[in-house]
Amino acid sequence: MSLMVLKTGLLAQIQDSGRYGYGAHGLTHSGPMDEVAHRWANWLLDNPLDSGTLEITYGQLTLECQQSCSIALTGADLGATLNGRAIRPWQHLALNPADRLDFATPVKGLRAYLAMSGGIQCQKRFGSVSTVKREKVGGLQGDGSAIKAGDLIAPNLPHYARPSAMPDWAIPTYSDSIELGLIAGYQFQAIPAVQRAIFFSGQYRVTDQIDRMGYRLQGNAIETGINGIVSEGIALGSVQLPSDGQPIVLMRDRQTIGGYPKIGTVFSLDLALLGQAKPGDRINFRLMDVADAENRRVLFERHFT
Amino acid sequence: MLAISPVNENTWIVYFGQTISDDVALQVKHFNDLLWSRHATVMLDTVPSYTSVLVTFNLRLIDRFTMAALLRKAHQLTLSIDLIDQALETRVIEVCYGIGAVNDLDYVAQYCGLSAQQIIDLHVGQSYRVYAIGFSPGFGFLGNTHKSLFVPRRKTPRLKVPAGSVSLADNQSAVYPSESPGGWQVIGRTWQNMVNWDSDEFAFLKTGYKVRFEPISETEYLAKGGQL
Repeated sequence: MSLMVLKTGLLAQIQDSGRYGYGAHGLTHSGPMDEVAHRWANWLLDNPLDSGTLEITYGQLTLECQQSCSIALTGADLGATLNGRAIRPWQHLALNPADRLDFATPVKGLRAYLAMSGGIQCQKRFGSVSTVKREKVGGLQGDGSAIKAGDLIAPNLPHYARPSAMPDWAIPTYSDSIELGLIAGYQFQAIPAVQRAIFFSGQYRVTDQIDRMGYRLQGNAIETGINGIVSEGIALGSVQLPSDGQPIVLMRDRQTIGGYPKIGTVFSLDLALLGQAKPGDRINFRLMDVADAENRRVLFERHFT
Repeated sequence: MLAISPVNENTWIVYFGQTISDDVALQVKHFNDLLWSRHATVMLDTVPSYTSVLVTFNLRLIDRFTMAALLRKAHQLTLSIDLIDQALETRVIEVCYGIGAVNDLDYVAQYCGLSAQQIIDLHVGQSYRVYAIGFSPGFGFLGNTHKSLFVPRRKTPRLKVPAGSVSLADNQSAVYPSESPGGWQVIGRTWQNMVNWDSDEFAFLKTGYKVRFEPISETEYLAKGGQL
């Protein structure tokens, strides 16, 4: 019941649903860049929904099965093959010894999630296995290091639940042009109305400066007229506007506190789509009521109870 | 600005004014402690800062409005009592000013209309309070700097600021505990570790501590293990 890592590419990390309760010490929440795909990966195997999965960014990863195991794949289509035969994400698979799983490069989306039946075995640090390189916390070694060749990925105790099939309606489409719901908040009211209008009417491009901490976008510069604020806590999805006016959407490994003005916060389920976006993709923002966001989130959670 | 404002579907931010002061710092600390002692089960996390507390809650256990009602009560309670400052520990941080490739000391001097030596003298000439820990693990926000040291953040944040960088932004000072992106103006480096992951102490600085900076030479900085 284990997978041997033969080759790694850009980045593959262990991620559970995140590290909570240490914000006062400055530890980031971390967790999956696409929490929707992460959630379904665990659901497909009837795992506890916050179990650790392998977040595979971009691909170029090769795994070899050492002992039979049951896995699920969700998220991006990274051109995966099983013993040379193409396989699609959003399904569970039974692997046999010597089976070889190769991830090539992105076909659709950017990040794939691989869950193992029972959840990936990994020592928790500060209550979570999520890997944060910058903080040197989490992952198989517990020191924030990413998955590397030679690592052995094994599940927790044997788990006999029956895997499920993915409901068709729940499989997202990853487009290179996405609209993100933005909840007005933080310094929204202090930003001039005309600048807010520019923000919502303009189209932004995802730059090549994207990582688990933040996505820098490029488009119409927004002049907030605000010269820095008293540093305050940064929520997941906050859209920061530094003085060059180019938005930075703060993602899973964001800093906990910051002093740049923020126009609001991207809705969590839309943020999961941004986590699949790649350089050059087009982004639009749409004003979203926080009550709508709460409703959509509650409905999403209902599928899993 | 509302005292209790929505941030997203499972986050509120609670403000205790917009001005940094010792009184507000005490209110923030009291409010944060109160939430954890009373409502820990429904909360995911909090981020206390200078004048605010960001509260993330578990939407599976409590809805947005019920959470807001809890926050309102705790907010009112915090404002209604007299808070007393406690004895605080003082930490000393040794700084070699103006070294390394990431170095804005000359820019800061030019911006403030002072010499580099005057910047250093003002920076070491007072003590600071740790108003918040955040941005990255163990990153202490130290206030308030002398008014002549006021300098804005960089227009575009740097992608990499080295660990130990002693920096300024607005009326605040800080030390980067680990290498990270950042927009603060770097004026020097310390050899001291701001975080120790294997110690229960964890962070060299904690909210409420007092801090002083002491200038050291490059020779001393390197002798004590400082990196360039």
